[in-house]
Amino acid sequence: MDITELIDGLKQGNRTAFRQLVEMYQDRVYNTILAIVQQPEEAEDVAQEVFVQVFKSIEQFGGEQNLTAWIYRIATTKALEAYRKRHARKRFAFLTNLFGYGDDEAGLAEKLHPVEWVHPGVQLEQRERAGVLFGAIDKLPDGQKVAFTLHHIEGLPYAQIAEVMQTSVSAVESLLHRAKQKLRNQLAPFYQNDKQD
Amino acid sequence: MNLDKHTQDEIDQTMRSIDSIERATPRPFFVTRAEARLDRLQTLPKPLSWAFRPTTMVLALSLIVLLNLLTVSFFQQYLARPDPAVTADQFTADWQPNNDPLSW
Repeated sequence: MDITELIDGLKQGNRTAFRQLVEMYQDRVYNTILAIVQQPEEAEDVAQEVFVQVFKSIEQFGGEQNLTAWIYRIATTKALEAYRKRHARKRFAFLTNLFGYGDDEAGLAEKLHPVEWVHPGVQLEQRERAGVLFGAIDKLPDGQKVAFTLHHIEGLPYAQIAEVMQTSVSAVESLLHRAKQKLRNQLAPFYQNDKQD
Repeated sequence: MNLDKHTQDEIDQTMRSIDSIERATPRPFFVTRAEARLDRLQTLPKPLSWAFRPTTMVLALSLIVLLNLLTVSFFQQYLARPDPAVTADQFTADWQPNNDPLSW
């Protein structure tokens, strides 16, 4: 089934087309979402939501658009939404804890200082460093985080990232440059303190 | 930012730590779970879907505005009416020389 047939099948509500869509894009969608939300169960839940959303809103998909870029766009938007919701819940849990409601101390400590997350695709010998880097990526602004994830984790070229983010190639270059600068600034105190210890 | 060579090297190595990253894959049977989710959503009743149509929302808004206007109008008419308590007092004062019932 080629892309045109796939789109036609989805527009007709064809279940085989839905299955084909998920099989074709599941790894790309899951990997992108996982890098943003940094939580495997949540990433899978959001990935399922993305495919259901694609199936439901395929009528809005313009034929001249690139299906892959459109799916990446839905995936990054949903991942950022899920990330924001989780952090809002964390802030609420922190407040309820301040007033004596909610979780115990251990639960609060875990929420405020979560265990360092490492992407499962990182090479074994790089896991420690990658954990530190993902901690810094987590603190990037949304646009920089999406551009950095699509380029460095998903391996997309600048032109495709520009299509996903509906912006120009030079804007993507600028976002990536600022993201790298910000990551370096965040990592510097970590290694300076490390040297002093 | 001026950083010493050690710190610069550490940062460079950390930035390169994801250079050979492999794509993460979801757990097995992801397709089946996604299909099940789609089924669940398609079988869910949508009792309130009509409430979010633009026509319904415009009608509801118009009704609220109309009710508000009617309330204001009735309230203004109510304020313009003479107070019945004052009228009764005036009637008593006019028609009864001594309005204390126990003073006779």
